[in-house]
Amino acid sequence: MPDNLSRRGFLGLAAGGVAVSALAGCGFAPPSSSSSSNTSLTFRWWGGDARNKAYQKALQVFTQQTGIAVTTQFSGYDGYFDKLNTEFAGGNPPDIFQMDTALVSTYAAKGVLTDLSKYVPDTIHLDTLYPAVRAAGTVGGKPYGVPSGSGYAPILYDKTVLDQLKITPPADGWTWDDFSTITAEISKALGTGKYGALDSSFDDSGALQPWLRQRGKDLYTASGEVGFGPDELTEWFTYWAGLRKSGAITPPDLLANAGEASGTHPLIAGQIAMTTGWGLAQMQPLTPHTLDIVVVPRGKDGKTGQALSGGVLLCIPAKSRNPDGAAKLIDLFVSNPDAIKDMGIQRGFPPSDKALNLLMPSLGAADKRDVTYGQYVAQQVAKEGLPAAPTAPPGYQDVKTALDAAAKQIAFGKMTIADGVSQFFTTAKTALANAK
Amino acid sequence: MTAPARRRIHWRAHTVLLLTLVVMIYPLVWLVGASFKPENQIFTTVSPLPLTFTLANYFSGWTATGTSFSVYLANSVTVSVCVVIGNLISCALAAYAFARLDFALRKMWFGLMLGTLMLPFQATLIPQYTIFYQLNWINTFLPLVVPYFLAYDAFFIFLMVQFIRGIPRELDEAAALDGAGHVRVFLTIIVPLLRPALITTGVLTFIWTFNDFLRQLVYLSDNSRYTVPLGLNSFIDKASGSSYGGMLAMSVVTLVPTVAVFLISQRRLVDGVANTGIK
Repeated sequence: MPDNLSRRGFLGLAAGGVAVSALAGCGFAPPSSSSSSNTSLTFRWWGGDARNKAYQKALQVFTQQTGIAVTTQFSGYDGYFDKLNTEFAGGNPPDIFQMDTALVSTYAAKGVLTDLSKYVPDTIHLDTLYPAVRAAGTVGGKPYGVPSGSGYAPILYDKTVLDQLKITPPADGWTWDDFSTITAEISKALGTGKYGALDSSFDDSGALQPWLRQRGKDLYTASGEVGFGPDELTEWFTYWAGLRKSGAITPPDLLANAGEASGTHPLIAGQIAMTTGWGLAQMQPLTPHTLDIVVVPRGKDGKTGQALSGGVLLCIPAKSRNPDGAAKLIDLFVSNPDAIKDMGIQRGFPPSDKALNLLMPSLGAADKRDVTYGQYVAQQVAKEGLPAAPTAPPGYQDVKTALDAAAKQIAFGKMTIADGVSQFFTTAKTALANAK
Repeated sequence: MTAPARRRIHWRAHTVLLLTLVVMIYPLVWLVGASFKPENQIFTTVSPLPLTFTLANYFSGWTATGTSFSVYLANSVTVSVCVVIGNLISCALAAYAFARLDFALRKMWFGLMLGTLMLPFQATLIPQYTIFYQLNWINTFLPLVVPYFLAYDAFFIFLMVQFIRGIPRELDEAAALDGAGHVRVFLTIIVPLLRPALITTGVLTFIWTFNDFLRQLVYLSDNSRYTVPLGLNSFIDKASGSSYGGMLAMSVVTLVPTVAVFLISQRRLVDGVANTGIK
């Protein structure tokens, strides 16, 4: 356009550019702390309000003691791994980040995580943690993640409802037979439309895993195969089919709401009095009723079969700009007394006696209940001496889905137990083979 | 048809419409009602309106994520306004070129431009991230804003092309006879007539940018640079307990700017869409 680019026209076109440069001050300039030196770190986690505050307080201790400035990046769980995957692909991951225990093997298999063995035991004092917890971040014998806390599979029950019905709450020594009796009793007392417990036949880590470990099996083997056979699964589905038939547990249509700790979960909605898969921390804030936890029923040999999970892990990407500093930060979670106190139970339940003893005096009643219970489980696990649970292999998500599908199709009466079992093993084996 | 019969049909239609309205508006009523309930009654009481009225969620929610919610609002408004400015300028220019100028391979370029509409966001996410990372733009608003100054939004270019095609060429020709070049024709003839389409573009761009989640999540990491959707997401964490009260209260706050923009421009928005041939 050679003809008359008038002054007004030019100004009009330039307006956008001016608008951008005028705003350059706020949010448009690159962040100042993007230098790749040994004195700074970016630490990413997901968490609620309480965890964010607790971590930031603990990180102040870290900066004071090591001189490493930490840029904190936190968000909700939604989209967390979308963002992380984009950054890994783009070559710009955070220097250290919080990891879902179930995903560590997938990431480790892609070679994007740092093998932490060179930092153990000099920088990261891994031996402080309970032996059963240590295994949570180990893939193929190498530590790729360090558990920030400990977790376990409890049964959560509504104490208020049980008290109203004058039913004695289950005790820690209860068995699967007691579970049948007590849920039938609750169901009967509550009347129609309400049930003793959730149908947990689909729940892999919250119910099936302890059941399998009570029988000397596990969800997965150390080499990443399915850790149990058709016999165990048939027995499992048959047990729950019996409960379903007697009306002790929920009909399958109520399961649609059981996947989330929200007000529609049958326990909060008052449709059941017991559930697997959730702890006090997530559910208690949702209801004015008093909730309590008890260990998943014991097997015939009296074992709980509990596997301490790592809660969440801390991992260092292979492309971390300051892996040495990140390793020091991991050790802050493991062994720094001040930081342990600051973090409370926001990092998961204390994964060591050291952390437990430091925390106990300062906890509130509800947290204390959680922690005492966690301690009890940790003792049981140590006493039972079962091998640590292997980390979930890549493709575990499809196995989980296969179990869920088989359990629900059986519950809806669309499939016999035998068909469900064989469908599960076909799908699960293909999924694990494809993910390798 | 007699008068009473017509009235009866009227009533029936109204009843259906009202019932539909109730179904559509119930979630909003629930949201606003729940934001005034104490935390432990949000999911346990059936009534959508609070039995115990409290403002606590608003006070706690405003500061709950460690950064004040006004920071998120300011960031969201900054990003949205910049994107609106960028889209208006660049899309109008690009649309003028496609509708009025004759240049080599115009049809092919137009086809390619429309083709970008078919690309899902996920397909370009990682290449885009890599480019912006090389430019050292990560954790700034630049990746969210700059593309829109380069006519990135093919949908609105298309919308305006359709609109400009509806403006009689005689107007351009008359101006050209009076000695106006392309710049003057664009600024004095096309832009004033394009107003309905510009308003549609502005409003939709604002609302879509204000509500966008994934793009902002990927590019912004620092909490002081978070936008409203990222701030809201921080309330929800399935592992360590969620603060639903604060989140619901802040959701209500978040609705205010978008609803306000929509209400103010509602009539013109409809005009704009109706006149572009996109129906």
